[in-house]
Amino acid sequence: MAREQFQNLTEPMYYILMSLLEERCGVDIMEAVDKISKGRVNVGPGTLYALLGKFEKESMIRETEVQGRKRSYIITDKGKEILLEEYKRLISLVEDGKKYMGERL
Amino acid sequence: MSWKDTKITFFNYFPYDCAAVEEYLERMAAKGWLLQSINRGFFKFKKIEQKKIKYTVDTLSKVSVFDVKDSDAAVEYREYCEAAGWNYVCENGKTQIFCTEDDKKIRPIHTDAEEKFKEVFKSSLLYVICQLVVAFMCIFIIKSTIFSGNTEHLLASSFLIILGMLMIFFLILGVIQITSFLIWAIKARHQTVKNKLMPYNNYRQLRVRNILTNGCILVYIFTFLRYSIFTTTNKWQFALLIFIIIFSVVVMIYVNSVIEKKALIGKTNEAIIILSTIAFVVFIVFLIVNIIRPNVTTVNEDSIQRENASLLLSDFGYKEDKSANINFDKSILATRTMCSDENSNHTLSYTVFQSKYSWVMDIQKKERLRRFNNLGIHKIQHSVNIPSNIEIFTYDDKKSFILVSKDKIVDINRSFYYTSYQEFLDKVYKKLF
Repeated sequence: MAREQFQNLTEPMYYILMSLLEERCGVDIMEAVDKISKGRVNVGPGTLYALLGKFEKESMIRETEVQGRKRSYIITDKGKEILLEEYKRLISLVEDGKKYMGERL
Repeated sequence: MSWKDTKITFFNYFPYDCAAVEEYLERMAAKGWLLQSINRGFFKFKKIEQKKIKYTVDTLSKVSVFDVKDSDAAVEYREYCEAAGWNYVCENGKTQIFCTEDDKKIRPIHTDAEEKFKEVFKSSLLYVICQLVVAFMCIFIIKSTIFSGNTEHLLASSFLIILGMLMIFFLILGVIQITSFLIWAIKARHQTVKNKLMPYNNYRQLRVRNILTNGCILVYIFTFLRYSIFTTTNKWQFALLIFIIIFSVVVMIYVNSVIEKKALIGKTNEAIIILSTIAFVVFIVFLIVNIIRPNVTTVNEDSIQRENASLLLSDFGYKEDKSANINFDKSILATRTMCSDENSNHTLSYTVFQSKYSWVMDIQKKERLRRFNNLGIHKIQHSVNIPSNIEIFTYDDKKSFILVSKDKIVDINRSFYYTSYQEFLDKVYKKLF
């Protein structure tokens, strides 16, 4: 079920998982996504909060530290696997595009 | 309602009305009113200078409606939003309200329409399911009372009329709210699939719905007061009832505020709120049943009762063992007198139903004819002494009769044959019409 739900990651999901390759707290994740995408992908706090909840439920990320109400997370092996699958899928999309569109455009 | 620097308004909303509430709050800010808090649909504003403020009305499905204020999940969520530049204003159940005066640079709270739809849908569902349960209960009660084929008792009892109206009122409210939710959910789902911007109810739509629901509430309160004052024979009983209702509401609000302040464990909190609400409803129903029902008859009612129960076994020459058993009901629509007189061998029982409304009389006549259809009810010729505007029906081998005039129905049964039916009817007419 989890696999199916996260088969094609949305852009915010992809960038959040990427940013969690390093341990980060919620506020840092928003900034990291901005930085990695050079400001192209914008993740609102509401969306981030909902997605972190889902990822944690599916054991794609885990909580590392709680300081007061500030929680930090890091990606798990399962999360890495899903992220990598998505990465490979995206690469193959680009390569297919290069091969087929390159000659015609 | 508004004082010097404070204004309180009533604005009922569901989580899926978030955009409409945002628009409402922004309009209020433009008029110089800043939101302070929300408590069950009551919005409290503070006077400020007129300015442009951008609001976000957000729902957090993770927060339970039974949770105390400032639950851990809500506080954590607020920190996320505050980090993104939003200022927290207040919360109401699952709703979290944020605002900013600088909406250009700030990032929106939700950047994924589908995630937002899921959150809003999940948060609204509980309210809608409650509405649905109430609506089905109302349909069941309405069906088993109004459409039971025996409305005589209902029409002659003010208490049942008030209860019936309350059910119809809840049903209308439920239907308005459930329809509104379904239209939104289908439209929003459709748009998300097409990757388009999600439509949330706007301020105008919510205002129309609120006018309809508030209209229903006012009509109900008005009729409730009108009927209660009209039918309660003792005015002090009515005053006492109103006093006790107001007192209970105050106690209920106090209990709630204590619960909200003291952080009890989730489940305990839930149990206290549910149990105190049930106790409150039972208490109010108990009061209405026991106080609103008139138990002292007035002089006027006493004379109707005596007049409508004046036919006794002794009128036919039979001895009475004990005095007749008489029951009297009166509502704003009709009066009903039930009389049964018996000795060891004979019985005479009848119901006199009286109403000045022709539609009430129509319903009663049709119901009776339908009810006794199987027993071969049929119309008979008039007796010489009874005017022709009174219709006479009989069934059960001329032991039972129904006499119908413009404003009175007499439904009478006898166990004796010795008096001829013509003579019997003459007596009935003479005594009861």
